[in-house]
Amino acid sequence: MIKKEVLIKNKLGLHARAAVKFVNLANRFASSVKIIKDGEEIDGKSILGILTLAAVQGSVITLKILGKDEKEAFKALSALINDKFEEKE
Amino acid sequence: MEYKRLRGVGVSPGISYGEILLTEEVVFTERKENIPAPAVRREIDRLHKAIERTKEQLTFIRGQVKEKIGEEHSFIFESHLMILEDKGLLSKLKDFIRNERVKAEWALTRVHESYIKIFQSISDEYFRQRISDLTDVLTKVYKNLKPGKTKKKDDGKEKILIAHDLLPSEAAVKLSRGNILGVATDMGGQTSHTAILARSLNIPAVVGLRNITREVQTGDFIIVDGTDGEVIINPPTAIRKEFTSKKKKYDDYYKELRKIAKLRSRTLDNYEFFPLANIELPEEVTKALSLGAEGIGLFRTEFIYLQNDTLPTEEDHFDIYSRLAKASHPHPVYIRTVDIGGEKSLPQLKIEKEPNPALGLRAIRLSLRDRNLFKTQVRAILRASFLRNIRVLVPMITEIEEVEEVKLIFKEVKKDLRKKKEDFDEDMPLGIMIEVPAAAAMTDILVKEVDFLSIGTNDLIQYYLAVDRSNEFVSYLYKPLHPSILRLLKYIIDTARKAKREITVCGEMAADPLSALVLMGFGLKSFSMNPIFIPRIKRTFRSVEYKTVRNIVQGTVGLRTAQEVEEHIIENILVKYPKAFLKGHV
Repeated sequence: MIKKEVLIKNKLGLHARAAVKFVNLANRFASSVKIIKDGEEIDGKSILGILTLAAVQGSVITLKILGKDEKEAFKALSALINDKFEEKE
Repeated sequence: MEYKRLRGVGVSPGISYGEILLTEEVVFTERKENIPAPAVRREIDRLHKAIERTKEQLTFIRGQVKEKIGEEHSFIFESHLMILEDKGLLSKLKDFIRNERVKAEWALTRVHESYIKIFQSISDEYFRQRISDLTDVLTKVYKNLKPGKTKKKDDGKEKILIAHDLLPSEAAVKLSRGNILGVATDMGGQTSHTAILARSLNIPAVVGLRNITREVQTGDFIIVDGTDGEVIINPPTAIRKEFTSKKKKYDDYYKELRKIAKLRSRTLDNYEFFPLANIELPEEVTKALSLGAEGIGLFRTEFIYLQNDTLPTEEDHFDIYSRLAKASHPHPVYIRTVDIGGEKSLPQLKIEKEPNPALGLRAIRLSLRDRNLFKTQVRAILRASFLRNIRVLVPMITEIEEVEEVKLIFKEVKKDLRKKKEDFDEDMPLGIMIEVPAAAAMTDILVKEVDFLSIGTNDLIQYYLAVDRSNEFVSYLYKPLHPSILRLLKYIIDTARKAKREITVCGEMAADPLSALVLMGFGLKSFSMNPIFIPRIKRTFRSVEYKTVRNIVQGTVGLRTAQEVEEHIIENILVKYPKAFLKGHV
């Protein structure tokens, strides 16, 4: 299992457009993807779950990934977040 | 049925009336309906089918919106489709039906309520409001549980659409369906997407009514007067009659306009002129052409930057320009590069507050500072030139160095596109706006560097007379027919013609019959304006002789005041052509 913290850097945070990208990417992996923020854990493959986290710019979330492709999944998902979801600011 | 009148902003002229269609229809049930245990499976199956049907509808709408309005607006359907596939949501719904042994309707209602509670506890405004997306999706599923019934209700009668506010994508879908006779909303203004769409589709609209959604209920009859910005709820017979005749007058007038639009653009002595349209959405092209436009003389691109919190991508630009090029083909389209800055600032661009925005970092000055932003737009414009009908227009040029830099950037981008084997117009004409007095004074030098000129009279007059026309203390000094302005315009037009370059005017002077006659007298042929004014200008031009107009306008040389100019022209024109200034009621 991989459990690591990631900082949300993009201006709008994990808003709808970013959440769609995140779920699409997470769905490409067999591993389960969980996101923890402020003690609350949600399914990273659920758009409603992500939206209810209300992760604005500057919040720290923990990615908890479990499965046979967990390494690749973590690499890809954290890259998407660090890349600010390919948004132009 | 209470009679009431509300005032708002009329953003699309014309009158329409009918029964209302409230968009925020709450369909969730109040009634808990139990089912026997063996029926649970059938109920879950019903839910699945409703979800599948909703998915099909959303996918279809997404495709339509993408095609008609553009990729940018189809995104909302992307997220809605994803909500429909949300495992958490689906298992909650199924568990609810299974555990409580209830109908799918009740499950949808209660699960929706549970999400409302979760979202309400979020402190961030944006995320809290995302419940509206879930509500939207669940409402559609709910309706699809009994598909036959809702279908009739949706696309049967022609109605007046009432809404709090319309998202661009929503507006696109609803207004293009063909059964909406009029629109009235709580929010919005002259430049909102809804307003522009309504105008381009000829649907009377009044926005900014503040609380129309609370004043009406299903079954109400309503009149929308988009010309005078009024909405009348449940009018008594006498008032209905009054508006029926007002509607007929407007409709006749509009028919008359369309008739004029079809006539040839020639003066009595067969002198040719070209009416062009100023627009800002590709959807406006059809209407502009139907009103007699022979091309798009000014396509404003600021709108593309205002649609989102993030900056538009090259694809966002390309999508709009290519649809514009196709819709206008074979007519030419002049795309003006972005004219943002000054008072039309954008948060994404991080422009410092300036003490004097009209004289500050705006238009081409901003584009040359944020080169990447500019290159993105230039690439998209060039790529959209595949039909060879696009011209590019650069605003706010002050000095020749700017023109040289712009040309260099075009050269660079073209080189890159050639490498990538993109199809584009190698000879796409490049022109500049003459709106800074310094550029006007240097017309003879500047004109040699470009393919055409376009005079933006609104800004040029303000800068030349040093008058802010929105300032009530000095606006009386804003006079397009001031002799100083006429001398300047004559010089610009003469110089462009001597250099054999095309020249257009795209400010309000082109749409005012008196000013337009003066411009024609100076030798101008292309007049770009809000398309609704094209028939009026055509009617004026078609009722005069060019040669006479030229002589009359020449007679203004040496006059001392704007008033003298005006009197000279009106008197002399009316003596010969009494019908030149006949007005409609636009």
